[in-house]
Amino acid sequence: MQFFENTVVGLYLMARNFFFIFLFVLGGFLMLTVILMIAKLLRPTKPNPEKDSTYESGEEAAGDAVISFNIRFYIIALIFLLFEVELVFLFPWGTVFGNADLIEETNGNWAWYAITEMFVFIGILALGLVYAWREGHLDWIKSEQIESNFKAEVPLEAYDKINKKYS
Amino acid sequence: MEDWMNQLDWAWLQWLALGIFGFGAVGGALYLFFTKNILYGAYGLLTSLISVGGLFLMNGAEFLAVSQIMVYVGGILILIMFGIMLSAKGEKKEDALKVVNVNSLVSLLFAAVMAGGLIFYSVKMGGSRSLAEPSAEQVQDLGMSLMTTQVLVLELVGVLLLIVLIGASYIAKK
Repeated sequence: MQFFENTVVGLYLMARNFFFIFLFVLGGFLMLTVILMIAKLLRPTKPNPEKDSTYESGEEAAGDAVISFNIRFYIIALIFLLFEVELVFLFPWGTVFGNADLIEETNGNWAWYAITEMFVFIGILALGLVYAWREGHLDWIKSEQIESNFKAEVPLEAYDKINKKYS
Repeated sequence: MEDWMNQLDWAWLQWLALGIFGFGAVGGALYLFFTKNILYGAYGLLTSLISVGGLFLMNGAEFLAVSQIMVYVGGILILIMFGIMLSAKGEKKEDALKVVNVNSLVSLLFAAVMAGGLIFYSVKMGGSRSLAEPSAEQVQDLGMSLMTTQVLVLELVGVLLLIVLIGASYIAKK
């Protein structure tokens, strides 16, 4: 069947083009496995409930790992996604933008044309970002600092005296 | 390409890669279908999407593979995960991420029809496709046409993205 033949040819091309990448991926997995295996062989295993608990910088872990996020993250992610789609278009552009032959043939006009075109493209979406910014979609809800009326009875000079005495 | 590389037997590598990616794509999707925890389902989707990217790569569509990884894995999946984490609420803690399949049969049927159609057309189109050229030039050709004959389309895509950005942030604000 032609379809499977083509797949095999494609596989062959990929295997040739990505042989080194594949080797790196394989090497990464192997290294990790070997290192972890060595650690497993060498280390003593004496678990206790204290050790098995989640490490939180010495604090007792409380609550669940699955909590609701702030909704603001969603808007940020959405804007990020749109700029990422834009980024995908930059790849093919990047391969022809600096083409020396084309630049030479057009006395450099090609480079100016290509970069203008791309700036227009980016600028259109940047407008959207400006809009979202102006409308306050990017504003984060800040926690309010409450000023207390507490008046300390110890005067500030007392601290200075102590600092001097023990310095 | 160096000489010694020509002498290697590539067949095992080809089939190994096809096996890994194919298994990942199908396995991830099946896991997504059967799992009871929506967050784990998202991980299944992650596996599936990355594997599909790998399959694109194997068929010489490098640009498509990069787009797949960037947009679907790096963007849309993150968005889905945020959506899950934003809306994770339940009576009990354990219920927060629980999913219930209500239309298994219909969705399976739909998937089967889609898969059948895709296989039919790819087998049909398979004969006319040529893979002789490695795809380094494909991206260049794409960039060339984006900058010359299709430049209006490029800017229109920019406008479309702008509209989506404004609309999405407006709805999300509400």
